[in-house]
Amino acid sequence: MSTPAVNSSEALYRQIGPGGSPIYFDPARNPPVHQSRFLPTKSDTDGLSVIRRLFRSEIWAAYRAEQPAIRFRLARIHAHKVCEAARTLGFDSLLLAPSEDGLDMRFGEPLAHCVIAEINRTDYDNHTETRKRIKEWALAVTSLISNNDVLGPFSEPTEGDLYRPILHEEVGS
Amino acid sequence: MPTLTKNIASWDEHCLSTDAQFGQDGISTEDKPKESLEWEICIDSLLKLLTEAHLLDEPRPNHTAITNALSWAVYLRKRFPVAPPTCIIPEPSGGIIVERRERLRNGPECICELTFSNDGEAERTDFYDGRVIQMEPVPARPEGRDS
Repeated sequence: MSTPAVNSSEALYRQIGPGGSPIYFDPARNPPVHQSRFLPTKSDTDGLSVIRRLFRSEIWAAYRAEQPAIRFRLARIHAHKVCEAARTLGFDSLLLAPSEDGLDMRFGEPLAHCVIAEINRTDYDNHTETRKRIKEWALAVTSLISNNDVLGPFSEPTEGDLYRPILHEEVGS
Repeated sequence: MPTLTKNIASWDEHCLSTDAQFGQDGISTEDKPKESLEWEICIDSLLKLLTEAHLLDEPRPNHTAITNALSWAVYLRKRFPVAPPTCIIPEPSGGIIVERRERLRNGPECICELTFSNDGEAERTDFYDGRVIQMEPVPARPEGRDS
């Protein structure tokens, strides 16, 4: 099966590593996910990484083949809200482009990993106005995340853990 | 565009400029507000990080970023005893973020974010009601020189 385009109604996961745990925070004020978790890292040259809930179960979505020892949590967001936040802040649009990661190489299509192309490190570092917009977008997106949208951490997946979520079979081809 | 200095206990823009000098405000001992307990927790957390940063996953803040953040925290503690940070968190590209978040009485949220990078750079970003109203480099150390 090939990889369909991201639908605006889809749920996406953003991995939150242990480094996303504050060194200090005021529980009365701290949001569940800090906006910095949605800034592009140095490796996000082609865009911010997210996982499509349609094609990867939670336990596998919280796992990185390249960093098997790290237990990630997942922040769940919806594609249409992510795009709407971007439009409000002056982005023309957001392109959610399927992009193969380590697990996609192992399990094949449909690809679960995709990138938000406009939220990339190159533009963030080199263009002041884009950097401001990306910071605003990250803040807007994290303001949409409640405690119920933060999942995990999960144990390391085993071969017995389902890779594709059952709801995948409900997607129209 | 509104600034952060009106009506809230925030980190006055003036004190973070390159020309600001510690102690110019002339606050008398009798007028000094009682320091928030959170300041000690914040400073202790940063001091602890100096020896335990290796326990964080990569990219982790390095000694430069941590000591710069600590230097600013000590400075801000003296300058704003009742306005401690509300969050200190690793920066996902390597570095550390020290942030104060305040909701104004009339609703909008203000955030003052100081980002200290592993390469020695430092930046201040001010948000008002979700929009960046100021974003500029600041000295790595409050008085602009290495200690």
